[in-house]
Amino acid sequence: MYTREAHASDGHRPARHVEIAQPKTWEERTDVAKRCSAALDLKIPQLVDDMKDTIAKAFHGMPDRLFVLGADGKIAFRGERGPRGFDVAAMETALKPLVAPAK
Amino acid sequence: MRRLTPLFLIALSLGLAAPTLLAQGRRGGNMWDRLSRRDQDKDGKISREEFPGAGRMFDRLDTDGDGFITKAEADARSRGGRGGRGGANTDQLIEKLDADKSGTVDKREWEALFGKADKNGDGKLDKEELQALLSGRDYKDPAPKVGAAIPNVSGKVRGTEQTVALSKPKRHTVLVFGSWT
Repeated sequence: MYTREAHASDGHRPARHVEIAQPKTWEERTDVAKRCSAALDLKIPQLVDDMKDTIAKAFHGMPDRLFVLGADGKIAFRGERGPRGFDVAAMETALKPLVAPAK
Repeated sequence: MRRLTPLFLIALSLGLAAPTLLAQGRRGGNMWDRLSRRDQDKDGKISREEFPGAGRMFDRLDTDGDGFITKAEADARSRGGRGGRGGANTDQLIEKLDADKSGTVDKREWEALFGKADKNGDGKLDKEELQALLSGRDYKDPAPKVGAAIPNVSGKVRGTEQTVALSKPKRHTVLVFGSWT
């Protein structure tokens, strides 16, 4: 879920590893998302949030966060807010029993 | 020209000074100066009966709750500006900001606090975030909890025409929020 830039170059705390101005249109955000995906060699499908940050606000997902969405339509795992709370190991711990083959 | 008598000169000087004195009276000098004039029994403190204002204000000033406002309590209020809760919140805010305990707040410390206070990461502090910051209350994460219904939102998969309804996943799905920066 690609969201608003957390450390845009035209913001008050620009990132050091890459210089990206805060996109002003959905097309700009989509282009940045595409370049990001290529740069990081991401293999997962990528959704791009609208310029109202609708999805990020619904989940309170900014700047970065992990969730597991259950097949039953309920939240199966809610990670803490990132970057400090971005815990892949905690997500995996929650996910494994959900996808383990039935005994 | 008639000579001005000393008495007239004294009266004139008092007259010229009066507006200043009156203005000082209206500004009150400090709070205790104004309150002490109400100390009818001359015990050096102001009781609720002697206090001219509302009971709520009396309670704010009577910080130790003993039923009397003392000079120390009035002076503390005067020093703290808004004092009371405002003063306490200012102290709390300084404590939160001054990470290196230097007694001053530099730009880096200010920006660090902004980042912590900005719970939803949208680059803005809304009323709830500001209230949480000033009150020192434990932050209650507003994100949907485990077991709650997935928010009814949809998103378009980049590079396709496919729209995904996140609230209706066909299987367990890991959702990763983030950006390149």
